[in-house]
Amino acid sequence: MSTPEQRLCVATIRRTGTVAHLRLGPSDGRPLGSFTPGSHILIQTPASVNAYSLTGPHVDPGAYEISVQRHRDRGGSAWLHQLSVGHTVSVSGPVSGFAPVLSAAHHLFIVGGIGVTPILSHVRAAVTGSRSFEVIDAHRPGPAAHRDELTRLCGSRLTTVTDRGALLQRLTERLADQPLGTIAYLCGPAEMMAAVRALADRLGWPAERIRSEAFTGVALAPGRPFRVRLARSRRRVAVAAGVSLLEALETAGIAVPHRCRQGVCGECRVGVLAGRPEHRDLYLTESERASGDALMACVSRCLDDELELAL
Amino acid sequence: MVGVSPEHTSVPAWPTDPGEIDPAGQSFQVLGSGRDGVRVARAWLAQIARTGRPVLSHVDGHTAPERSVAVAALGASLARARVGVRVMIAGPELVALDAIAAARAAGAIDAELRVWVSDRALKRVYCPHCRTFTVARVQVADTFACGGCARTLVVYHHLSRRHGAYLGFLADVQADAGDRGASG
Amino acid sequence: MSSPPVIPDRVARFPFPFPEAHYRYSTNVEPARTPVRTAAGEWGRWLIDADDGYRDELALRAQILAADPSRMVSAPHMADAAWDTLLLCLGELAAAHPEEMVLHRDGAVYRWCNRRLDEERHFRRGDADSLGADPLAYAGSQVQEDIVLLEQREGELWAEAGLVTFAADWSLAFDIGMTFLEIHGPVPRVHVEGVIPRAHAFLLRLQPDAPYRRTNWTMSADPRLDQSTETYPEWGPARERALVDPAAVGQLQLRVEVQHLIRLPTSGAILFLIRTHLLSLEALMTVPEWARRFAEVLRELPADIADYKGVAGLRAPVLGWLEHPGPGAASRERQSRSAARSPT
Ligand code: HEM
Ligand code: FES
Repeated sequence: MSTPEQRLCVATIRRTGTVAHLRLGPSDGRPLGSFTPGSHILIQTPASVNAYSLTGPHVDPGAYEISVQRHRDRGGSAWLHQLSVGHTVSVSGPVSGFAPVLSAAHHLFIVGGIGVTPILSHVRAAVTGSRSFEVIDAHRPGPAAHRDELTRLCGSRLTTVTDRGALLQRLTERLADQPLGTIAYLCGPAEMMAAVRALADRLGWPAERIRSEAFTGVALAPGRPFRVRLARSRRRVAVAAGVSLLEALETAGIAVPHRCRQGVCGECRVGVLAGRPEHRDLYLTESERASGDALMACVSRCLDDELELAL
Repeated sequence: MVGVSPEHTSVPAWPTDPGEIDPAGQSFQVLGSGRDGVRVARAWLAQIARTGRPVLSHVDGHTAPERSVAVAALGASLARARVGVRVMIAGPELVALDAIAAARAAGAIDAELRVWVSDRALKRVYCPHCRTFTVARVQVADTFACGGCARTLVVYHHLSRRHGAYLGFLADVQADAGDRGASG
Repeated sequence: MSSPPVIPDRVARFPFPFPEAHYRYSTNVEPARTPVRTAAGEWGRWLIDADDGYRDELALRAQILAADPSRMVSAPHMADAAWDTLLLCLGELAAAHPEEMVLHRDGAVYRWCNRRLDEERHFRRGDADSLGADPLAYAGSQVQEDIVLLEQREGELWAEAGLVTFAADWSLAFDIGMTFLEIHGPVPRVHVEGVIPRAHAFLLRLQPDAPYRRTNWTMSADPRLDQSTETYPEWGPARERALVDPAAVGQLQLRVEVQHLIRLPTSGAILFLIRTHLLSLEALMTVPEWARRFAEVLRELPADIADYKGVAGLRAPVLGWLEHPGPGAASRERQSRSAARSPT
């Protein structure tokens, strides 16, 4: 489970319209890890844990750079917007879920609005690695975040469109004329990505050729807090969000055999006597899940507020 | 082999039915080899003709040659193909494996390939001991003489689609040691 | 009773792989860099380290590669992953041996200093000329581990590059280009029992900051590291001999691989490292807990797993020998089951 446990310090902060660009540097001088193009980090804000794409250089970065669009309804972005230089934030290590295909003959990046953020590191890597690529960029008329940099990196490989009709026309042309071995990468608003996928599908693109940024599904979500009652020892243990049941039991001094902490090895199986488990492992079979009488303590949680365990 | 489930080895269970063409295909390349392969390819070509989509066909004659001219033609034309193409391959396994390798080398992925195998009589087998390939009329678990080092190899249930070849290895290590005086 | 014998380093650090009295295939992955206490010592504190076989094994690797270049496969699209691999390997070695090895970065230039091999290089990532070698080949000249690199695409992992000189009965040259699932095709049970599908799902979502490891084991007739399919005609006969010659049993080796599974940070490729450890049955006997446990495991091992590992025929002679070690033990065992227990 990737959790925001590293403390980074705001080194610079800059704004383009409603987007704030933050550079987060190590507060202890230790070098930050390289990351795969398209990666994001998770940031703990008072309201929630948010995912932000890393927009800066990916090899031996001096800082992690992110761009935060302010949403009125999302507390986290407003909080990040009011930070200033010197503030520290809790950040996870880079999470990769939108990586380039190393052997692709050509890379086609399709970008909408603030969806440019994960594409920047892709494009930079493609330029340094002399990989063949092109970018189709759609955003509202007027200035938009990172477009100067994108233009500088791409030169004539960039096409910009500012309305839906032009986007669809350009896409129809380009999707129909890609060398075999092309991989397309999508990042933008959900409706735009759905429209591009539908168009690509009609033009004979197998789903395997299209990657899209999904901030979810790579790292397990921290989950809601819940409690467990232990039938044998008659104890109660609280499991906080972001803490696994296995960890909570260990902290309470209750040893459960385990190995992988990833829900694959099968060691940490615990009997469930009451309550509905939320299965998040890869170990139990469908029928074992359905019977609900066991769970894997390293990853699985509770659908309700309490579970009773055979411990 | 005990415990080995045939459907999970690297040796594909080829579809028995040639199937319909993929209506999402924007263009097609069809390869047919050998009498049965050519018959299936013709049926596919007829279906494609009804869609009006562009098609290139690569057909070998009624005898299935060991190294197919059609495979070379397929590889060359796929080098110019665009995403949206579907590659339809019908013929003996040996030719089909070569065609798959050529298509994948040109950038095609499994989702864009359709394969129908007429027979598995001939196999290309890799000898790791002398690093050569031999084409032989063998089944898995049969033995034969390696064309490179003359050792008697047994054909293993392990297949590389990149090489279009099965793995072989020395069938009787004791006999070999005796014959050759090889030592450990 | 005398004072406790000094345990040789090779035994003390041996990754004895049997936490339980029976062995089954499982998705036995665990976080890397976690020390494990064993009856004889400890292993696993470091992701990569150099042991007392370091120079010899690296020299042997160079010799094997020179004789058979097909043991290394590199590919242009995996070059970035090869640089990742090199930097990871050197960084881990330096962490384990700070007094002998240093990896230092100054801007874009790395300095690698390895006193054990009298090596010093200054290089830039991505610049093979500055390194004076192919990055994969150089990595293989600094670590005892065999290396396989897998690329993730089409929802699969494809073995695209590697340097493997100490394989246990498989061939890199043949397996290159296969998917993870195809590579494991010949292994019995693991598909229907879900071991390999789970490993696959686990690897597809593996993240760079969380390296994992697992162990695997087999037996070999002699301490030869290169048991590749390529050289089977050379090492196969020794195994056959051990079946008929009880004197050879003590020289049989428990061969354990510590395998690391790592998502490389910049390329996003999967790095699979295989480090092979050998321990003769004679050395195994010096640790009574291990001898007892190994006998339990061997006795209980299902036929299909024993067959696949090539230990089916060895089972009876080894069990006999473990009970009555020494030349001729196996045949003595057959003659008299009531023989006095030999000293250990
Ligand atoms: C969690 C990950 C993995 C698991 C659980 C796993 C499991 C296994 C098992 C159970 C075997 C049979 C070994 C024996 O009985 O001696 C095996 C063999 C093998 N594994 Fe893996 N493995 C994993 C990762 C990998 C990776 C990443 C590679 C990369 C190439 C790999 C390559 C092989 C090869 C080449 C063999 C020999 C297969 C043959 O007979 O040709 N494994 N593995
Ligand atoms: S510790 Fe492996 S499944 Fe939970």
